[in-house]
Amino acid sequence: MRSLLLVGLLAIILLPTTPAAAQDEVTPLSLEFTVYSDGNVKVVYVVESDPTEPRVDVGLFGSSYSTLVIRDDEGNPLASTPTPDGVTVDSLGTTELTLSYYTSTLTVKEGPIWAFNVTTPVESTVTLPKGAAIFDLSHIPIDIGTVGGLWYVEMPTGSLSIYYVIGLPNLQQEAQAAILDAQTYIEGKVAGGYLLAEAQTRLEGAQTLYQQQSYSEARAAAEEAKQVAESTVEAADDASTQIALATDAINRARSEGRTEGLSEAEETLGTASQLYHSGSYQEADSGALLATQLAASAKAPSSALLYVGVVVLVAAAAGGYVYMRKVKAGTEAPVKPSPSPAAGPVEVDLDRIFGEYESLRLEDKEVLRFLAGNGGEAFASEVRDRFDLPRSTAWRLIRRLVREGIVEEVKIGNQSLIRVLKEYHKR
Amino acid sequence: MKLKLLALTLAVILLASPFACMVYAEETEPVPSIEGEEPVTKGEGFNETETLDGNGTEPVDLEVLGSLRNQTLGMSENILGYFSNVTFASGTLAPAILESLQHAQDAIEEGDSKNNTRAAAQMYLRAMKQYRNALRKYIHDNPGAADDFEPVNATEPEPDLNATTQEEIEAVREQLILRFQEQFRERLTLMYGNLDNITGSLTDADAVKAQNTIQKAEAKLIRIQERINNREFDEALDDLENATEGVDEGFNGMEDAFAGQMLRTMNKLEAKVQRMVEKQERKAARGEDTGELDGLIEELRGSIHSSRNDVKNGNGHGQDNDHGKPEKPDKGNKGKGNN
Repeated sequence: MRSLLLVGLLAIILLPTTPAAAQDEVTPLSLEFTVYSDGNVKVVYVVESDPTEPRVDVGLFGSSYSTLVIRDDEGNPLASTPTPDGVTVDSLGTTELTLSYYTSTLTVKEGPIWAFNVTTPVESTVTLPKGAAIFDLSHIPIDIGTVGGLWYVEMPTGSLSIYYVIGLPNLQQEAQAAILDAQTYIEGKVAGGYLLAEAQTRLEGAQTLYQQQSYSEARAAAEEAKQVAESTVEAADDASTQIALATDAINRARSEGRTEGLSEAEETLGTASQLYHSGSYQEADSGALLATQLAASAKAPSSALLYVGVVVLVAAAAGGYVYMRKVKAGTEAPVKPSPSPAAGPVEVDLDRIFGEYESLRLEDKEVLRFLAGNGGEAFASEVRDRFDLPRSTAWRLIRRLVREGIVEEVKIGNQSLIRVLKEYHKR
Repeated sequence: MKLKLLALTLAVILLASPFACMVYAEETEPVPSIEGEEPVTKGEGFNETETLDGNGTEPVDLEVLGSLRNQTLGMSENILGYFSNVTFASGTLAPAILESLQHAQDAIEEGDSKNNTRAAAQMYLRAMKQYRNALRKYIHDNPGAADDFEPVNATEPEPDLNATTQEEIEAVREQLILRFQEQFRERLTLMYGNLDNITGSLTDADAVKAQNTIQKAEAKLIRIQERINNREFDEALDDLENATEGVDEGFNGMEDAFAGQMLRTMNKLEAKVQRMVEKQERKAARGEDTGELDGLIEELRGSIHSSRNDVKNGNGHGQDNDHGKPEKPDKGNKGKGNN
């Protein structure tokens, strides 16, 4: 009797734990979880439904949910009422139900490690958040891979766990980004005329390391390549500036008549330029700096030499005078056109010129003074001789004055007569 | 006395048992304490009897194995890179972490040496677990390090574009109740036909029981129609549920369980046919190809026919029906979630 009582009691107690008959009403077909970086999970659950039933019970995953939408096989939205295990759906004869909803109760975070835990009655696909790196799996997956940069794992039925971390530095991507960054920078600068052989070699090294899947080292090498490129470009810019400064210093020295030691400066500058064009920017910079110093220390010729020079100049002037006289006497040498008698002697308004052209160089002003003292005009050869200028330097100086609109150049025979424009003549 | 005590103990245990399944997802696998760690901290070779993946024995797809290996190697690269960065600033790692990292490396190498794809996959999973342990240990020792792992682009769930309003659901629900009631009526008529076909194979008692079951359902339909006419849709649905349950219970209560199950199966198949025919008509109205549905309907009708023959010929007693699918699915936890 007691035994019967016990069996009866057990039967009564066991009754509520027996799966409800409603469980036969649906058969799971597919299950998808999309996990977001804030731990929310979108669940899409498709079940086959008994078409003879007006209502079916469906268990949901997670202890709470939001935005639950249930549709039948024709896409009609269906009503539902919550149950302790899930929902009772007014399925009304559909053969298939699609349930979608959000839940935050399938994930848990410990430190930086997220865990996605679920018990499934059917194989399921879990898509992890952007930037997630899988750290552990409870089961050997049926499939694993990426779609659109997101990891997905297809898992077997049962109680499963997926552990992942968001924000762990992805060395492969970082290495790739560093290589691309260095490559873009280097290529851009090379296209701009810089020679970056060392940086290019290092970049190639980074690419090789990347191919060997040594991402950490590849990233470091790529960053180093860019640093080398940046410092090389900086050195090139410095050298370029220094070469320009040296050129100016040499010109200034020449224009000031400080020609003693200037040739050495010019030679040094030439060497620096060659080094610059071969990509040895630091050496070019040092060379140009030395050229600048040499130019600055160039001196005017000594007094004895100056005396000799003056004598030579006087002699030359005398010779020139005689020569000019001869020319005037009817030789075929070019003759400056005579100003009209009515015009009288030409007087150049130097103050006005210098006032209007404040940026005129010292040598430009000297030449203009020379022209003014020479009746407002002189042959180019006279200018060269007067200032002991190389032909090209004199040519550039005259071109500058012509371009500024101060003088004009008139061809007389095979000579160029440089003449201050009439508007700068004093009346 | 002992028996009473035993009964009481059992009663307490069993009364508490329904709550045992009401655990949340996050509790399905308790997170072990740092001190306890995961049960794989030992670094010795793989024990063939130990599985991290249940008792599966089938080989793992080579492509999946390759992906798993790549994932493990990528993780190795990432975690070692992370530790190399942090130790550059703060010194060396704790011995336990170094041990985990070494075990992970050993597991990868052991996985690479396995010919058995499942064993290899398990070694890669073991390596992953070791890396996870190493990171957990490091974060435990250096709580501030958790800040290193900030989500790059935290995204909120997308709004569900298919979300519906209660009004939409209610409007559709009324139409669906009407249609379900109509289809149920049609199926009762079809059931009379099916029953006529197999009556000769049933006992008198079963024939009467089946007849009564259908008649009772018909009677309920009259009241359901009244409720629908009065727009009492909730009540109509309750009655429909009651009527369909009545049909199932009536057939289940037949002496010949196989015949009862076949009648239920035929009812279900007829319902599927009704659904398919509706789809077929809609597709045809849109001028779409219905070839696939035609085939499915034909197949379902064939199944109904063979179910009928099975009963008539007395086939299948004690067996599943003959359309390749057991009518009663495994009652495990199909369709149920994990809450």
